[in-house]
Amino acid sequence: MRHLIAVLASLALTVFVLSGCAPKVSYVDPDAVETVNIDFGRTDLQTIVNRMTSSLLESVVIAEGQRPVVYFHQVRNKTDEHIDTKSITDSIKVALVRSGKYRVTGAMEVSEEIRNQVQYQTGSGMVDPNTAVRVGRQIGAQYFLYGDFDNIRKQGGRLEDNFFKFTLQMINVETGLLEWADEKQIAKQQRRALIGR
Amino acid sequence: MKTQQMKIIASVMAGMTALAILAGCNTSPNVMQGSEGPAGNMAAFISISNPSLQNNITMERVIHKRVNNILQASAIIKSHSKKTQEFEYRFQWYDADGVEIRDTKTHWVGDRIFGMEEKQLQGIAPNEAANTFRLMIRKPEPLTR
Repeated sequence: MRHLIAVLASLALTVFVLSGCAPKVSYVDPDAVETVNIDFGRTDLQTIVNRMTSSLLESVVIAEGQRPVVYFHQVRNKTDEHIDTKSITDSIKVALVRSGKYRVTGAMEVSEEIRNQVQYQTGSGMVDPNTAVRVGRQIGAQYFLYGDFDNIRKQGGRLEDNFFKFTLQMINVETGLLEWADEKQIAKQQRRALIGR
Repeated sequence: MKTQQMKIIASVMAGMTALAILAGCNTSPNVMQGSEGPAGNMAAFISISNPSLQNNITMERVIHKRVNNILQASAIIKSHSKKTQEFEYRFQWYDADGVEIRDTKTHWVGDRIFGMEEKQLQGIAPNEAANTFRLMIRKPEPLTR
């Protein structure tokens, strides 16, 4: 019996050591809450997108069954982290387009490509004129969205705090009026361990 | 000596099994499902698969309305503990045929509820087609280091 326990224990130890050495890769739920550290993470991105999209779907701008045309301008990253804010606005854009409540113009983002395609269709002689697109029919944006992303990071002793503020605003291109605005605040804290990181 | 060793092994096995069961309990969410009827009324029912969580946080009732013709649901939850509790929740949305509407914003959200507090969890559907929602509440399961 004692021999069996010794064999089992050594086997368990071997498995433990070997598993510690082997790299472990696994797929995880991308919708799960992620708290790896207090820097900007995917849960923060999802939280911001959720808040902004929900708020835009409640806006009076889409009341009376209108489907306004919006253009996404820049969200300035004023945080102390390298964050691709276009990734955030792209997710908001996806949700708005899928809602069917907004129309989003992307013409300015790919204007060069559109121009080349129109020139090819209308001037190359390769495209049947009956199927070629007509110029001067793009729809102008009624509103454009822009915003700022800030953070305040503080540390005292072992406690580190990171406060994010994402602000998005929608301005009427014709009137210059701010028709909608919202902000999402996120506060994250981490207490560092006494030993190690 | 032999019997004593067997007892120790049995105890360790029982302990590990209990831990596995408890860990399993932790993952199962409690669910509130609300379906909007043709007259705009809402029938809601609650499914409890995690009784230990239910003892601490109950899903009480749901308030709903249509904003810009999109279903908005507010579920009222109540804490029965004197302590602040952390939890996670998630809304999912379905159309009249029961097909889930994929959405970029139906992720788990970490939240906390203060002792004996009553709180609203609010969600808005991705589009007009949604007439049913499922709200899931579970104990925190963050992906961490």
